[in-house]
Amino acid sequence: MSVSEPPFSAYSHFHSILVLDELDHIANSFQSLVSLFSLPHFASSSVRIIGIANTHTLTSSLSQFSNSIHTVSGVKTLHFVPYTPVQLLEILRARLGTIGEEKKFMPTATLTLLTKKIAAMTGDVRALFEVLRGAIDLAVASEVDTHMDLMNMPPPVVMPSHILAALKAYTPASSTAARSSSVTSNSEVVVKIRNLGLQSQLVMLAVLLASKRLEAGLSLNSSSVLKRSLSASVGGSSAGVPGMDVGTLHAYYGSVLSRAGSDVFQPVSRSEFGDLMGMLETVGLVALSSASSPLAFAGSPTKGGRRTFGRSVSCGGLGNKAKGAQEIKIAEGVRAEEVQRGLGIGNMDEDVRAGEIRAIWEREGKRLGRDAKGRAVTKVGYERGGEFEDAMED
Amino acid sequence: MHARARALLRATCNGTSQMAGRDQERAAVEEFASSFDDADAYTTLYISGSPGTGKTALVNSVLCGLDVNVISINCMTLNNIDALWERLLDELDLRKRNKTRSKKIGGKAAVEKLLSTLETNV
Repeated sequence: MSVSEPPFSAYSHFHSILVLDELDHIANSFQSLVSLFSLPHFASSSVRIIGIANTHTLTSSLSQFSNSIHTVSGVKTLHFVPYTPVQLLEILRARLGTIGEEKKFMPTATLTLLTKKIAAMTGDVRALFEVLRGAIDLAVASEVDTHMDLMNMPPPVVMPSHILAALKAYTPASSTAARSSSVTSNSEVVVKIRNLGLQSQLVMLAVLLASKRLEAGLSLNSSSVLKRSLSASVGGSSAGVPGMDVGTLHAYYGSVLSRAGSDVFQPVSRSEFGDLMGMLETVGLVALSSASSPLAFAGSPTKGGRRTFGRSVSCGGLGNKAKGAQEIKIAEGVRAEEVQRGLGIGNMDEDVRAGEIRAIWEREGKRLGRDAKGRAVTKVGYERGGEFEDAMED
Repeated sequence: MHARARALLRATCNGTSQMAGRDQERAAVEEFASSFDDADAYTTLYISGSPGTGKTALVNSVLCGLDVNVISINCMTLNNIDALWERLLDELDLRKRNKTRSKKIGGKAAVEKLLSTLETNV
């Protein structure tokens, strides 16, 4: 190559990062992703790629491959979960902080309601801004109505009622996933689960059932009571529930499926189970942690472990990591009832597959109820069992 | 005052370092972007998530503070992956030099070839 190089070659000693935004728009096959992500290997000390994909549009082809992306050599995955109400509030405070008196005309109650509502819907920060702008407009408009004098108008205060009205105006137009039967538009989690493959849904079901048993203080595979004391939260969030390890969960999953009858669902092998678990973590439905150090995100092992993780293509992510105890929990921010809705449990209009899954759910629910009643009655256990029975009867 | 508030509530990701939250994600991206000298490092970071969760904003926020050459391509403007190869060639300025050869070497192969020369160049 001659010395008079085009500009980029002059950067050969520079470090370059190629950012590919909205990758889901053009990635139409797993192969195209693989060939794209192999590019940095041609210049691995100079070039990196950051690919950004929206995974909400689950009809896009990318979602089908998201379970395998972490197996491609040299690829690290990072999943952004929707914002929590607290995070949304922080964002608002940061944005509006320069105004100074914002607390006066946007009281905390108003913002709290807004952030809770948005977080329950999609956690989308653009929606947050749009609804708040709409609410401000409504507040201004109502002040203008009552005080016709624009010059001496008192500053309008944005009330919760404005937020609710702005929300109504916002939701019908924008939510494409909303079904008329549900009260709010379906959350990201529900749509995500609905679009999982059959085996993935069964794994998710096993995780959910196991969480419920652990919350009720029962062990997974027998009706015996868990020895350790639980700081279980009865409200149904998974935050206070102890995790389960992969091996035990796989055994439980196997027994659940065999109780369903051998011709209904075939359990997958232990290593495939691990792969599916890795995939569920990549899309943010479960959280995995090792016994020694918690891993918050998919694909972020320590430096030493990275070598085996990154370079082997055929093994699943979890297969390499899970030498010791791997703890599995439902991911934070994912509610049990969302998982239920996604799996089709509890609504009448379902297809054949959902019907089978529902049968498993009811059978295991009865079993849990029996086991829970069998133990010495504590308030927590009884309420758990009672709640469970109610859920089946709807 | 309400007008000011409205103006501040525009959804932008304008590449400044100001961004509330996402601390763990920020750390992960920073670590990835500083790993060029590490032979074992990941070479691709794949970020996924629903719309409006701060992905693009965070990446821009992290990269703008680093001493690194950033090439940003929004794939929404492209029709298919072949268009991406062409776009990469344009960004890398190869086409100007290899005008006569562009028929023989396909888009992807040309990109790969160019990248290989980066490592061995000079």
